[in-house]
Amino acid sequence: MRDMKMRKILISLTLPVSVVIIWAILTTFTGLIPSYFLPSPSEVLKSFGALLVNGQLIADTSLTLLRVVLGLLVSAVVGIPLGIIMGWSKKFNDLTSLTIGILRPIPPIAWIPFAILWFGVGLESAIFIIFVGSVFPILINTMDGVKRVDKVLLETAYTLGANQRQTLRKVVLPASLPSIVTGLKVGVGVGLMCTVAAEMIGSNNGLGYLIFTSTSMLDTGSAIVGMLTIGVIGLGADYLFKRVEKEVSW
Amino acid sequence: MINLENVTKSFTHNGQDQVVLQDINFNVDKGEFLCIVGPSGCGKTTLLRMIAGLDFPTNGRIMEEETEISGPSIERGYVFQQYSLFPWLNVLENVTFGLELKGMEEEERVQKARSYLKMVGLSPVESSYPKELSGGMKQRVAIARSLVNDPHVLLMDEPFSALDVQTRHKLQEELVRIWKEEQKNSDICNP
Repeated sequence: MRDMKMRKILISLTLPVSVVIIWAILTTFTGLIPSYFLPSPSEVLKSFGALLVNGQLIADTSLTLLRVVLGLLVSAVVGIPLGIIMGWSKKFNDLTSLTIGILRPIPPIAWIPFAILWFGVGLESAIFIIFVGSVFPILINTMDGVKRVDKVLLETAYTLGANQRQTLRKVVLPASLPSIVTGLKVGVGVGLMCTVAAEMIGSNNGLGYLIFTSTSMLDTGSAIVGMLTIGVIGLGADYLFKRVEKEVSW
Repeated sequence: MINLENVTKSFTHNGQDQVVLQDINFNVDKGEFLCIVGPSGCGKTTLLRMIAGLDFPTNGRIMEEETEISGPSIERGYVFQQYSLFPWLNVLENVTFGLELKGMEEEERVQKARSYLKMVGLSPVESSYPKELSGGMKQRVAIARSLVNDPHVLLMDEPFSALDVQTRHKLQEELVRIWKEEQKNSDICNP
């Protein structure tokens, strides 16, 4: 059992380790790629050390995380109830589906100018962009989950004396929880992308800002540190939500 | 107790009216055990669903104690042909579902649910989840979940049809035993 787990870890490490080795060969050892084009792994490590020591990496990471979490929270508060009502009431679905169909394909980044116009440069602006990006996956997944609730379970609730409100709370909500969690998982990914994009344009801190300013100052090492940090955050969030998904897969 | 008066049910299928049940009349009294038999597709399930209030007659009416049935009620327990336990609740929580909706105190409802689980022989699995149970156990829990609410009538729609012959026979015998223990209500069954 433990051997199997070790094997799995080793296999999944093979590819990233090979990439780093090839990367090192191409940069440090042979100099085939000049360092202003692609920094070597050791330069990235050096930048990582510097950013860690001066505290910028931790500050930017926590700011980006804060924005993602707050934006996702707003999306969940709006998207989950709206998705439940849309999945439950055909009338409400008919009323809203066209509007949502038009708003959904608009890239969140296209909202950045308006976000800055309405909320200025800062936290509110970023939260708005993340909200625009992550509310739709949450809403659509919730709605789908509600629509797919087994009819037998609903009728069972009615024959056990449940009224509509009790059925929504005690049957529809738990039955569609797996879909809601999936929606949140997708929403986190989209939210993270939106935050970074928003920080590149309308912000003066965060990982997006770090990447953007480092590249413009030819500090490509720091830019790669910022990029990899985002990757690790995404990986962590995905792992977390997969655990929750397993927990609620009835 | 339950009276059917000229109950007719038709469905519209591809623009054509299809009469499934026509002028059905019968009464079920307290303590009676009634079985409805017939070939598949003859409308047994439709009939039971209408008594439960999950479906409505096209013509005629169904009365329960002098009032026309207008929707589902906890007084008419229903055991579905399909497995119908709430998968996120354990066995005990499934059985207390209706009692909790009624607002019964936790201690009282757990005590009551346990006595019904004992009756269907499932006390040892009260904290198991539906996916850990066999098909026969699931349907026994569903029966306990209906009976615990003291319904006037228990409606069962081929509750054991998905089970193997041996288990089905055993559960049918057990059902008769439970009915004898619970003389207060009537059962309409579609075996």
